[in-house]
Amino acid sequence: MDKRLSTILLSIVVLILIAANILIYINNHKNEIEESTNNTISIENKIENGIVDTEQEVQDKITNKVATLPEKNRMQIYFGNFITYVEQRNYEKAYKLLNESFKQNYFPTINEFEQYVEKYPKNMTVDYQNIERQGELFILTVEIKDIFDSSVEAINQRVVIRENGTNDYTISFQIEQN
Amino acid sequence: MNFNARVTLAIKNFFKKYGRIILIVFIIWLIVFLINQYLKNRPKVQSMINTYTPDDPIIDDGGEVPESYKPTINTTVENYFNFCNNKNYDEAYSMLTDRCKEYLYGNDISLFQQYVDNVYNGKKIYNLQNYSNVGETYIYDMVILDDIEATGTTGGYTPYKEKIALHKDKEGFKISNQGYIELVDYNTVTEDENIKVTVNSKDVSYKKEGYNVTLTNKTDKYIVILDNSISNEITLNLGDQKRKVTNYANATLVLNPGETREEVFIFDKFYDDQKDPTEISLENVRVLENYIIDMEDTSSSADRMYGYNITLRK
Repeated sequence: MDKRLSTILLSIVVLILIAANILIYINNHKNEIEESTNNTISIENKIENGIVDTEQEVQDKITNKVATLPEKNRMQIYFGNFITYVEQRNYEKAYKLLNESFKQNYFPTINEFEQYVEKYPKNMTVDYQNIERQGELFILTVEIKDIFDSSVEAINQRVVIRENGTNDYTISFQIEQN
Repeated sequence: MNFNARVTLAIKNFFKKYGRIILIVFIIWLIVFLINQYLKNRPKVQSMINTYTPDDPIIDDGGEVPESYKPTINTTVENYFNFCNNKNYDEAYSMLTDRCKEYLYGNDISLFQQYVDNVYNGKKIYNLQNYSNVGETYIYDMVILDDIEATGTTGGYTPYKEKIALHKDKEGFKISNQGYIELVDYNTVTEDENIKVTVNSKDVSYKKEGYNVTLTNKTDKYIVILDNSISNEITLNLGDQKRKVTNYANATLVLNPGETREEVFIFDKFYDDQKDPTEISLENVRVLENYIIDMEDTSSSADRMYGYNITLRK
């Protein structure tokens, strides 16, 4: 009888250890899945535990996140940020992301840039159709649509991105010439 | 003994018997767990994934560019590109190998100027990718394109790509462009009672080889080497296969009695395919008493028809 009880107790200890390991594994794995599926990073200030992140904190989070991603995803995030600035009418920040020569060629002043991007849809969604590389430059082919209004004409354009470092990049894009 | 007392006794005996083992297992598990947690929470050194490796060869059979050469090669190409982009023809031309100047431009800088004006039509940018390496020759894909950062690709963009080879010499590196690689000297003379063939050299490009040969008709008869009446009349033996000559598609090669003539036999061959040509074969040498232009059946009219092999020796 004592021998049977000992066996039962030993089994219980072993099962507790196995259960503890499985729980730890599941917990860690869950975090990984959440991280890998959360590739889209918003530059809107986040509220976590009732505290609003500062712009710098948001940028730091983006930088940390971007560093772990493949090139294709990084480029999509960079252009996504640019488009979000435009959508938020935060033209100054969007303008700062433009390549200097490109600015001189097409938008010497921020007002000219504002006027140009005014024609973009109000609620933008970007469909990434192609990405190719020319040395250190990436060329994205994108379609920009209005997410709520299908009657708004989509904008197809190529975008050139140079990545200088993590979350440090410049953008130029194909100008529609009338 | 009641049940509670029995259970208490059993637990007591259990831990007496297995307590040490359980403790050891628990300590090992705890150590593994703590090490795992430490490694997981250790600050990560983040390096971005970057697939652009311009100095790593795409075809890696021939080895890599030595680390010590990479900066010099990149500087050499950058200088060459800037000279071309700024239309400093003399400086750019001086960076080419002598044979490249002769082979591609006939030692005429105005022909090089035409090439530069054609490719560098407007301000350009470039990128490089090491393609393959053979000995001290480093072959790169060079892509020249509009300054798409400045234009945003407005109006489109068409990259121009060519292979350039960098050759190590005492002073640094020289460039051969437009796919041309180098001249290889031969000293091969063969002859029989009808013909004498001298293979003087070959001009090697990335995709082809052009053998510079001298042919002499030693007879007082006509010798037909090629008239496209038979397939594969001139071939290059690569050991495991034969390649036919490519530059006589609609031509004839007939030596008049006593005639000596310079010819170039061009064959398709990749520079980095690691195949070593062993011989050129004139598969159907026809010796004719009489020959008229556009003669249809030289084989049946020949006094003699035979194959003639020229073993290649450098």
